Amino acid sequence: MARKFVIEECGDEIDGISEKFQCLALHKNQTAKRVEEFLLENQSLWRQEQKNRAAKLEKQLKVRWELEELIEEQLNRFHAHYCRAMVPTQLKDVARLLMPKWPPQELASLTWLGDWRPSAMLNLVHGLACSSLSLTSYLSESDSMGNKQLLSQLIHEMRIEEAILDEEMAEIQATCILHIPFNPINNSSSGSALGCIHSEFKKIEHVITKAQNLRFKALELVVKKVLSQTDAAEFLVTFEGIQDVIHQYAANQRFQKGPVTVSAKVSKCT
Amino acid sequence: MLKALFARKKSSRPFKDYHSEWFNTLKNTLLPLLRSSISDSVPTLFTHVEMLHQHFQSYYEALDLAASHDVSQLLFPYWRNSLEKPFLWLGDLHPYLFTNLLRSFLEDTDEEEETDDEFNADVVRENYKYLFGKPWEVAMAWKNPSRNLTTRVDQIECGLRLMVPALVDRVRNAQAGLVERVAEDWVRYQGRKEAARPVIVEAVEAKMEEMVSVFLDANRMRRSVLAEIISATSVYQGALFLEGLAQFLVGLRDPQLLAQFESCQMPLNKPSRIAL
Repeated sequence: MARKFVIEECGDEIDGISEKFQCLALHKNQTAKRVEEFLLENQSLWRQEQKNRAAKLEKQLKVRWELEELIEEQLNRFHAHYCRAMVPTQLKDVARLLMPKWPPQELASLTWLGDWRPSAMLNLVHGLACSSLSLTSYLSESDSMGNKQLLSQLIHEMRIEEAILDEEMAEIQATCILHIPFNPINNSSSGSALGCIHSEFKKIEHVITKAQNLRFKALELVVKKVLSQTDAAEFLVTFEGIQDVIHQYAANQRFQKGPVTVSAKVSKCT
Repeated sequence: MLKALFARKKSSRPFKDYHSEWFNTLKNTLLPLLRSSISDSVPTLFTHVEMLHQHFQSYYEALDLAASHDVSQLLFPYWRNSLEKPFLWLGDLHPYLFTNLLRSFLEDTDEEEETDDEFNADVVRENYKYLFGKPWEVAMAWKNPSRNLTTRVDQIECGLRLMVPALVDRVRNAQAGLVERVAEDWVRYQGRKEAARPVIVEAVEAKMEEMVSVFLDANRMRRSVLAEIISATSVYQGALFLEGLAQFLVGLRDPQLLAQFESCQMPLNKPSRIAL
C-alpha cells in the first residue's frame, strides 16, 4: 500500500517535472535525436569505411591469389616445356635440342646442354639479392643470412649435379669413335652404323632428359623454397627480361657480324 | 670503317667454306693417299702421315684465327650436321677421343697377347683376313708396343684429367659471373631494359672474351695431344691412328648414312632394336 502511494506520488512528481520542463524536454528530444542521428551516421560511416577497407584488402588478396596462380601456372608451363616438349624422341631431335637455333652469342653466354644452366638460375637470384634495391623481403628478413647460406648450398649442390652430367656427356663424346663402326676393323662385329648411332644417341637422350629435369628443379627451388611470393614473381620477370635483352643483342650481333670468317691466306687446305 | 669492312671481306672467307674444303681434302685426297701408302708400304707413308697430321694441325690453327671474329659461331657451328653436333665438345672433338682411339689399338694388342698363349687360330685368321694384303710392318704395328709409348699415353691422359675439368669449370664460372653481373645491373636500372642494355652488352662482351680464351686453350689441348701421339708412335702406328680418326670424321658426314639418320623414325626414349 505504502509502496503504491510512493509510486503514485512519484508519478505525480515526474508529471510535474515533465510539465515544468516541457520546453526543455522538447529541446532535449531534438538533441537526442540529433545525437542518435550523429551516432547512426558515424556508425554507418564506420561500417562503410570498414567495408571499403575490407574490399581493398579482399582486392589485394585476390591479386595475391591471382599472383600465386600466375606463378603456379608459369611453373607448370616450364615443367611442360623442359620435361615434356624439349626432350628428344627421335635421332634428329638431339642436335636440335643441344644446339637450338638461338643466336650463337646467346648460346655461348647462357646455355649448358641446350638451355639455361640450372646453377645460373640460382646465380641470378644471388645477383638480385646482392643488390640492395631488390628482393627486399628476401634481404630484410631477419634470417637473410640463413637464406644466403641456403642459396650458396643449393648452388653448390646444383653444380655437383651438373658436373655428373658433364662427365656422362664427355664419356659419350670421348668414346663414340669406339662404338660407331666407321672403322673397317669394327665393322664386322658391331652391327650397322645407324644401329650403333641409335644406341649412342639414346645415351645422349638420357643426359638431355636429366638436364631438363635439373633445370626445372632449379626453377622450382627458387620459386617455392628460396623466395617469397612477390620475390618469386620479380625473379620470373627478371629471368625473362634478362634473356630478352641478351637475345636481342645476340641476334643483332649475328646480323652485324655475318657468318664467321677466317683469313683467306692461312686457310688454304692443299 | 666501311673500307676496313670491305678489306676484311676481301681477305677472308666464311669458315663454313673453309671447313667444307678442308673436309673434302681430307676425304678425297689425304685419306686415300694414306690408305694406299699403308697397303703398299711405300716409302711415302711417312710423308702422308705427316701431311694428314699437318692437315689436322692447320684446321685447329684456322679455328684459332677465326675465334677473334666470332667465337660463338665456332662453339656452335651451324655448318655441322645433326649427326656431328652432339659429339662436339667446345666446338670440336673431345681430346679424350684421341687418347681413347690410341688406347683401343693398344688394348686390341693386349687381347691378342692373351690369346697368343692358347694360339686361337680363328682369331688370328680373322685378323689376317682383315689385314690380308697389308705389309707385315702394318700388321704388326701394335704388337708389343714400346714401354715408352704406354708411359707416354698414361702421361697424356693424366694431363688431360687435370686440364679438361679446369676448362669446364672456367665455362661454368664465366656463365655464373655473367648472370650475377647482369642481375645486379638489372636491379640498378630497376628493370628498365633500354637503360640496362649497354651495361648488359658490356658484360656479354667480357664473357665472350673469356670464351675465346677457353676455346683457344681447348684447341691447344687438342693440337698438343695429336702432336704428342704422332711423335710417340711409330710411322705405322701413327698411320693407323690417323686413318681411324679420319675415317670417323668422314663417316659422320656420309650422305647415305645421314639420309637414313634424318628419316629414322625409331623412337629414342623407348627400348628398341634397329634391324637393318
